[in-house]
Amino acid sequence: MSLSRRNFIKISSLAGSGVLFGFHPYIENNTGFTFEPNLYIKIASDNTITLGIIKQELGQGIKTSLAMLMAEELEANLETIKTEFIPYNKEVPDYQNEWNLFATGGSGSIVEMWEVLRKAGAAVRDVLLEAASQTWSVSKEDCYAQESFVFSKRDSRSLSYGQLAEKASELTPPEAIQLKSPEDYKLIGKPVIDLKNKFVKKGAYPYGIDVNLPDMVYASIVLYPTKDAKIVQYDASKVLAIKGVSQIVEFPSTTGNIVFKGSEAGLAVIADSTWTAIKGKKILEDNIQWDLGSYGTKDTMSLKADFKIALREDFNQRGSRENIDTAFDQEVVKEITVSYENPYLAHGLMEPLNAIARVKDGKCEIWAGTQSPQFTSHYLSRILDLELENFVFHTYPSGGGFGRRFFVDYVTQAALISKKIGRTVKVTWTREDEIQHGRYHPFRQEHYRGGLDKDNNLIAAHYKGITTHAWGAGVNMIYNIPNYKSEYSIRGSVLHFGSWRSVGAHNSIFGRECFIDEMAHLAKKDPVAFRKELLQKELSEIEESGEYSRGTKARKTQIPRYLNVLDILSEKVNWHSPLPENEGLGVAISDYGYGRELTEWRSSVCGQVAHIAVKDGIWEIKKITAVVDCGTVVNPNGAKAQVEGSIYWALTPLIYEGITVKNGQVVQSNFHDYKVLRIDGAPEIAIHFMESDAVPTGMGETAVPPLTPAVLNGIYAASGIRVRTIPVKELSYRYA
Amino acid sequence: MAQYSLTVNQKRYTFDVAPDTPLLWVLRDTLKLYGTKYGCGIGQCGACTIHMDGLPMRSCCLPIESIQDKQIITIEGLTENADHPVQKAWEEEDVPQCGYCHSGQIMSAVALLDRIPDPTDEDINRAMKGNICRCGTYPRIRKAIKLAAKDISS
Repeated sequence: MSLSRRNFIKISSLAGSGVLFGFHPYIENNTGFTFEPNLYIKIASDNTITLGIIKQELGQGIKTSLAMLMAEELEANLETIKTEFIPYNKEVPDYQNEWNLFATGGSGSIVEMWEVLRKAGAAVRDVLLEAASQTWSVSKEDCYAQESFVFSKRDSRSLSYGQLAEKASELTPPEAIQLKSPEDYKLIGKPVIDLKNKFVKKGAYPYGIDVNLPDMVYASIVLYPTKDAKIVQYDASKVLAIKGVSQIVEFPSTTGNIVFKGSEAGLAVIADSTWTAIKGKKILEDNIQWDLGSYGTKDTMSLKADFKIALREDFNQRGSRENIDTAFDQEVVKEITVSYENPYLAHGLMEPLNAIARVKDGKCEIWAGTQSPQFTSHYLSRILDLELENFVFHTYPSGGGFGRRFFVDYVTQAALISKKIGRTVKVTWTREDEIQHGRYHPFRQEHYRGGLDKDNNLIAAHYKGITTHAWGAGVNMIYNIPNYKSEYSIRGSVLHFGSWRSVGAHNSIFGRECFIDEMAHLAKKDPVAFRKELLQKELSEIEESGEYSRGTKARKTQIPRYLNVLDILSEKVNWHSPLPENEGLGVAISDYGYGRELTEWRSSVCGQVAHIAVKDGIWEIKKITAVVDCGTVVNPNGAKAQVEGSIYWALTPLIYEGITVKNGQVVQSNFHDYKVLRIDGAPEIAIHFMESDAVPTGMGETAVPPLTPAVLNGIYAASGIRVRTIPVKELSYRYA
Repeated sequence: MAQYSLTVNQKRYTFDVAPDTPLLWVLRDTLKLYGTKYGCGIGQCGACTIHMDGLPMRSCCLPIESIQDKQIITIEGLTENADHPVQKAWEEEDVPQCGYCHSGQIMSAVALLDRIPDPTDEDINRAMKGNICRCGTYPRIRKAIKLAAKDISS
């Protein structure tokens, strides 16, 4: 049965215990699918409502905001709603697609589910109203739904959704679905406490690492230390002598030529408990002789030297306007050449990576928290040479994702080990494994040459980005610069690359927003006014041209939002009011997220101002003010949490040393030498959301990129010290 | 392997493990009490914080042989109905994001308020800086501790 767009709900009876409404996530593009819904709303006779979700819980509170979207239109009491994480298996209708909506990243969950969950809620409400009207023999217009009940407008009769479930299971879904106007929202836009927190507060919220299967053994792993290391020899005897260790197995490296794929080779110590396995791993590490391979001579210094060579070599050109060299030669009267640098960064997610695998009898079953169970299963299907029909992936909430859990390595290792020993195995990474075998934010430099004409207009800029990883290379230059050239160069990385909350935007916005700030100061113009002038110029040029490419379409939508955010931000921080000596304000703006048809070319915009004080060689953040335009705010509690978290996430690498490399390996190993922000380093944050009823555009990452440039621009405003490499080493950070 | 006895959440347990097994792994793997979390294994992050004879300790660094006959309280045993003022405040202020570090955060906060019922910002920093949160829930932790302090004093 093929689906009409209007009729995307399928109703089935739950044999006397309630009703199930299945619906398809691809409401806009459902040709070619048979009707096997993979999202569902279950209404049980006792009036509990269960929403099956395919987005992964990573700390973004997704189950709460998705439940809110459904409950808004369903007129359901949020307190009575339960959510279930749907496992990936062959019951998922498009399980043969490598990527689908299971993937949770890019700040996209709300964007992707915004329409479908509200429509599903509205359709189910309509069916329940119909059920009530038939039961009472009144017209549907004489019934209304509220707080999981249907009421009669004519008298005091009411029936709970649960009481109507049986009747509803005999009905057909509505043809047309009417969604609420924003002014009628009861839930969307109201602060709601994360539904999982009543479990978290008593330690009863289960993560992948808490799964206990009766037949499992425990493994701790030793991964090859460099990209092309080999084992010369190892002595297993001391490890095997530990009571509880059953064996040591080797597992191969697996490759993949795109982001997220591939796993290092290693050895696994199999034992009867996590601790015994970890103890064995530590002893094994001391008893292996490695050939470190070609990467064994590389370190942070050699990487920097290679970037210097790169600067003299050819770059890949991304785009240019006019003749940059002529402009610099003939029109520029004042210029600067500057470069910004950030180190490799690890994730340090609180729940160390882990996975349970049972690869047995031609089947593969996985228990783990990931950002894409579907993509991971597809990868494993190839690695294990096992048809997808034989996969079941039980998804669990993750103790942090931040981009790291998109990578398949840790689950692959569990699957390979399980296959080899023929048993169910739980692989738990140690913190050392996580810091030393990460998927790192790239080491990257942003080189700019910028020039002003005799009237202090920014008329020429030449951008050269050098990075260890192609993904996210380059910069989105939103400012109008008549002569602009953009180039990038990708250099070989010593370490594996990764996606790190906000990915390439973190590096590129750092460079762009500091550079623009430096040009503003060179032009002796106010940094906010300077930005607004260049944005307005860009907008008029796009509008005058009348021709919109994909890029200019987005820019035409985004620039007015940038301008509004800058205005509100200036107002919130009293941008022009005088500050005490040694204090200053630094500004930066960025966007992040979708920016395609689904959001009418919008993506979330965030502007930040850092109020900085610098005294006696110490820098202090007095306050960070953030203004965000993310379209409709679904749950202000959750959205604020994302801004707070993003700001603190970005603050860590401003204060603490990133990842450094020696002998091809990561120097740091745990939180004692890979330091992260703690409560005594967390400054005050003020957050303001722009009023909007536009389609929501994602909140998970948008507040990460502006923080670094806002702080560094603030340090300059406060002290005249221009910091261009993070962490800040010119000054010490002031803790509370 | 050797036999050890321990009182956890007012319940007496006897079990066989290696003498160097940290309490964390006894709780998780042997007693199947998964509320206490593994974070770093070296006492740096606080995710494994429990109370031993009323004091907050990092269970990843406590070999079982060194803590014979101690009274251990974990997050599961803090209250019967999850209604300690700190637990209530944690939900009311909507503190956790991913939630993973919060068993440890709550155990540290309870111990702080046992010692200092009305803590200053500085007291909070001193007591809580051993607990890392990568989601960045720090301002809400501070607010929740102050809310719980108010609740306790009233």
